[in-house]
Amino acid sequence: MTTAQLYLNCLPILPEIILSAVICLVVLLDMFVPLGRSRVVCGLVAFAGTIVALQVVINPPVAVEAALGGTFGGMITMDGLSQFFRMLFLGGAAITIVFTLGSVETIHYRQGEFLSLILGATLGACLLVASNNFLMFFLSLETLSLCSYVLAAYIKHQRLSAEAGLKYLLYGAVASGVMVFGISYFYGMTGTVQINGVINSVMIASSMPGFNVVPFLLATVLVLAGLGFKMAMVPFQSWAPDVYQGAPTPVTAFLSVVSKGAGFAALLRVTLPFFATNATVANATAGLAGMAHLPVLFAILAVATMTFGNLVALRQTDVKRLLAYSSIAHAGFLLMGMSVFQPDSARAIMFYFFMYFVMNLGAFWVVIVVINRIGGSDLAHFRGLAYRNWKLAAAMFIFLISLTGIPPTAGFVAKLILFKVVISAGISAMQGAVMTPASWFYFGLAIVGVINSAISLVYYMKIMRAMAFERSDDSSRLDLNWVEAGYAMAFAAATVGLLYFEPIANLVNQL
Amino acid sequence: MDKMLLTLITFLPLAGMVAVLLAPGKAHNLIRGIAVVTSGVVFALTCWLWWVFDPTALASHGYDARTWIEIPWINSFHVYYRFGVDGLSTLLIVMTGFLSFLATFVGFSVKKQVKGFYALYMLLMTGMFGVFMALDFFLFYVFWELMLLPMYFLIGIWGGPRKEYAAIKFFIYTLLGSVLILLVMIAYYFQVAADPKTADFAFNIPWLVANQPFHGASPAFKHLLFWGLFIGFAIKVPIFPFHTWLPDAHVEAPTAISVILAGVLLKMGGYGILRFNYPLLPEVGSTDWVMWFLAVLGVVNIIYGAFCALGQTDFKRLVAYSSVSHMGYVLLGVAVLKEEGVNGAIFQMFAHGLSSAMMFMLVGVLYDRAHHREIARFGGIATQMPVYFGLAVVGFFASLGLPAMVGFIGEISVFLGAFKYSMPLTAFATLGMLLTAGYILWTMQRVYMGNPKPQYAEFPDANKWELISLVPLAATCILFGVLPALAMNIYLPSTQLFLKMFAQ
Repeated sequence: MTTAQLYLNCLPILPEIILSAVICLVVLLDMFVPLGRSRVVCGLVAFAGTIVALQVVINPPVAVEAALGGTFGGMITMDGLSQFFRMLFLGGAAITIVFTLGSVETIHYRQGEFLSLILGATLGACLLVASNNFLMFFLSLETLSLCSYVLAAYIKHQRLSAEAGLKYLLYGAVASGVMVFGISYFYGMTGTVQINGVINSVMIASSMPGFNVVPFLLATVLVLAGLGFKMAMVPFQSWAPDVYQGAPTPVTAFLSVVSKGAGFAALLRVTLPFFATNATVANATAGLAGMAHLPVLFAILAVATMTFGNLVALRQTDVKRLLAYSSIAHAGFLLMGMSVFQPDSARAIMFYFFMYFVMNLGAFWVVIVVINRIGGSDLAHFRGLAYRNWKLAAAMFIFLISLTGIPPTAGFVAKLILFKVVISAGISAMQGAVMTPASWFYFGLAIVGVINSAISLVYYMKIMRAMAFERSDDSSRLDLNWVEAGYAMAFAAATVGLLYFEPIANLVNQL
Repeated sequence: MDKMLLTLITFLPLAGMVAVLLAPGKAHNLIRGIAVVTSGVVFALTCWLWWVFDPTALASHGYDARTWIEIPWINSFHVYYRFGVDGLSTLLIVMTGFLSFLATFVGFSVKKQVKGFYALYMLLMTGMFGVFMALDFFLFYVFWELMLLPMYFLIGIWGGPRKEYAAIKFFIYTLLGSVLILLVMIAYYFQVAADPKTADFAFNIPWLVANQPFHGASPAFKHLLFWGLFIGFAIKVPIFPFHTWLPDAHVEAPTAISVILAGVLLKMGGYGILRFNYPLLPEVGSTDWVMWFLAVLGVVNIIYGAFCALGQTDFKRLVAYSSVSHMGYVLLGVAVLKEEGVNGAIFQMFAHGLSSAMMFMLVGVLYDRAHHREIARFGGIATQMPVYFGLAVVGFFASLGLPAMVGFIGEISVFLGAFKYSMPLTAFATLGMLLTAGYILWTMQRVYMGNPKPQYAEFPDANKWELISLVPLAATCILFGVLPALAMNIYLPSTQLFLKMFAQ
């Protein structure tokens, strides 16, 4: 490889290179800057570096366009999917860094390490969505995971945090092991670890007579286990509540958007070529028996995930833990989009994820502020918040109704577009005015989704109730600094403003 | 300027909300001042709308061309920022402006969290105006839901002893209704957007009404759509058996909010039925059994509501049930699809908006002094508060439907329409008038007549803030009773357009 070639190869991953450089810089700075100042200095450097990387993703250098497709011998691929998710991950990292600076939970620890771990996890996530090779895929997933394990256990003297880290590590190790086992099946069946190569072989083989679907399905399910763990999908969700509750809240926010997003991005990466063929939909019209197995599998997982998340969330009294279950439920909604298996549904998933990203980060920011100022994330700490600081409470109301999916918020349009995709799949499966099993299947899925939205209202309303209708023993005013108030307001404004969703729709339509 | 008028009316309260939020929380009088000024300006703008609206010069789509505004909003989803008014909405908008201005003064009795109260109140106003103006299904739905949350908090925070129960009941009922409306909206979207040629009209209400995308669909499916919309709106009206949220919400809500609930929010149900339910699915609405069923349901509402009102011991609950009874006339008037009936139904909405708002204010005045609402414990108020009593007579007689009062015109017009449809049913429905007279006269007798009671001796008469809100209502109750044409002329061409859909 000549220098010029190397240069051309490196350009597409310029954001990742910048991130790596910033990680080194932050770790070094942390050693030389005194502890008192390291928080601000390292924070600003990390933030600036992430923003630069984000800029490079949004406005890529000209040569990237030329290298679109593949680089490093096909290890890395650049397309709409990877651009979209890299943007989200880098944005999420930048926001998490601000969260970290605004939170008191990690104030007694050196920030350099913490920030470099967040950047490291982001690096893993960015490479994961861009990787076109199972080896690369696994390595980036592990980079993301390893950083996350440490981040979850970051508050060393707290039992909950340590427990969270350990649980996360144990579950994660098993899930990765299972996934690698699945990848080995793919390698055995097709003789390659290139993702597009595997997909091509599977597509060709499946059109042959006598194709045995069982090993293929088995391998898919095994790989899905590794990704499902990241997405907090039932039955791989049991780590999520403990980790979300125990980890420092900025980390929880990070895990709930970037880590979960990485799972979905990777899932889309391996399934997207199947979407484009539309083959499964054609099969679907032939009836449930002829329907491909994957949509059914995803639908079952979606229903299980959202129902489990919502039902268990009903009993929670800790807001952080409640939001953990709510994020499991949202994973279920996203999986509902997966079961449609069309390019449109991939767009709907990305669209939903963008909205979820904004409202969920906003909700976690309010939790961080409440922990900062009141000292905990229990429902009791939210009592009477509307009377102690109406701005914070109003922002939280907006996030909660958005998470439920009530207009005029981002969550409403997200659910609307997602349900639209599912219902139109049902309509297109109809033969004239006659319902087929496939259309019953999709309509049924949509109904389950609507019922789940209704259930979610109950537990979101529990928080609203505590904030507005109950009073705390301490009814003194809560004074926030401008970062705390401004950030909450900005997220709330974005959540309402995204009702005008044209730009986001255009963004995902580039896929 | 006319083009901006509807936008201004809708979003000026939002600006008022921002101003209220920026004001210091302790400056109660400043906040009240902002609220009064904002709602006053909005009311003036609605009057201007009344002035510029020319009922005889409607555009081909049936709405006023000068104020019509249509801007692409979200292209990829075919959503437009589409506002327009016809006679029906103009009347209701003016009524909303009037009532929300007067209710601002009633809200002065709220002493805690004044800032939050008026901020949510202003937000509620935006939602209400938006609902009456939006002619894009998506936009309409957003405004419809926008009212839900402020109302929930207004009842839940500033309400009476059982406020939380009432607030959550209101929330769940209304949300259930709006989910049904949403489902119908989605069905229309899929039907229209499937064809690229018509996709851009997916949420265009005038277009959907004119082109009837479900014309060729199976009757069963059309019925599904019709009843989905109907239940969604019936919950708001409220139509028996979906009315049970209403007594709770009205009784627990603070007076100003009861006024808005009874005066404006109930009309949204009626408006929805007239604007969406029948025009979108005229074939279902003019089916024989549907007409019968809905007319009977309207009569059930009238009689049942009146009987419930007779049985109440709580003054405010009685007024709440009288709303159930009076809104029954609206359904009866619409269901028979006769010109007099529909005209009467619209007038009844207007009349009930004025009279029920006044009755809730009257109850509120008494409650602020006595701190209870038990009818049996009152008596002889007339001698202690003569001015207040004078106004009460106007309000209650307007509600009773006394000739030369606003309530009479709506009821008699509905009966004229219903009479053409079915004489026995109408004869039975007139029983409602009798019952109404019964519970209103009996209540007045128990509360205002009789010997003065010593514990109420030191009650001051209505103060200036109460008079500011009560006197204009009393004046309009009489004015529109004597000159109903003032209000009727504005929507007669629109009802004719409405009825043309059923003429074939």
